[in-house]
Amino acid sequence: MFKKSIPAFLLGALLIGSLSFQSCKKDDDDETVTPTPTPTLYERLGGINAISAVTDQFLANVVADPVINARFAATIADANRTRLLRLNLIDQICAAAAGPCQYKGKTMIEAHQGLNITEVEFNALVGDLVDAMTSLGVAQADQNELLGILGGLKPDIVGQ
Amino acid sequence: MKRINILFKIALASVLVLNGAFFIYANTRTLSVSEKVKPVTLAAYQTDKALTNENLAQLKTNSAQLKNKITAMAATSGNNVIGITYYSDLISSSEIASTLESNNSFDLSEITFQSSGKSCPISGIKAQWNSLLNAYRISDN
Ligand code: HEM
Repeated sequence: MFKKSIPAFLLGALLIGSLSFQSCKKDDDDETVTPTPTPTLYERLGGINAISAVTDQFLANVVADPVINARFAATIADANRTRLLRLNLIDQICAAAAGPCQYKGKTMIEAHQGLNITEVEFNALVGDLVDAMTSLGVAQADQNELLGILGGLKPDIVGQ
Repeated sequence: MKRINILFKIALASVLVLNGAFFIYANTRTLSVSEKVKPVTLAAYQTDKALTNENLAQLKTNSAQLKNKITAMAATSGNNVIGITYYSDLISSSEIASTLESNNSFDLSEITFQSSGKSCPISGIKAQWNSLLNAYRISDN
């Protein structure tokens, strides 16, 4: 009777063993599930086309902004200069948002040296950027993140 | 005379080689992600009256007709400057002006800025270099 029950016992043990393995495997699987990477700001903004759309709206806003548009008269007058400024702005925003771009323009101190830009003008330009992002539906949190990065450049721009 | 002839030939060969090298460089270099974005032209228009909210609404309707030809339009109530970015290969600045003007109570004129003024000459050189490369490129984007 005891002898007879040995195969049944072995079978039972095997079953329990394989079940517990199964559950272990499941636990292991849970551990190795790679967490979905949080999208970068670049991805959340919508990539290069969305950034170029924001930049275009931003430039148009600057042109229509009586507080600062005179500052950009020489730029608007020269199509090549406008083209370069736009390219630099797209690269700057894209790189700040951890996108696949490299800013190749001047440093902010070099670019704004001698312009004596005031705080009022700085705020006006930031306002134009905010308006551009808002009108194109950029989420508030993403706006804040970008502004946090670009806003840090203020000491290199104002009063230079 | 013979010497001048040789010098001329050398000069001609140099120009041809230089142009060829430039052409190859401009067309084979890998463009960055941002350089692949189609370039736009920036224009500023002045209205003869300060813009009202009705004008703004009409401007919005009018600019919607230019979809895919202009990439952005900006105008604010109480001001009289309109900013536009557009693809100059698809539409001219005067066409934009007449479309924006239609059914609106103002006259519009493009503002032509002077390219002089205090500015860093390096920006100019860089911009010229950029435009030279673009001139040698077969495709614009
Ligand atoms: C967060 C604020 C700002 C950022 C991120 C910024 C960024 C830039 C960049 C990337 C350039 C191009 C640099 C180059 O040519 O290599 C530039 C140029 C310039 N910026 Fe700013 N800027 C800011 C604020 C301002 C303000 C407040 C003004 C004036 C009201 C201003 C006026 C100019 C002018 C006049 C140029 C020269 C454009 C040209 O070369 O034609 N900027 N800026």
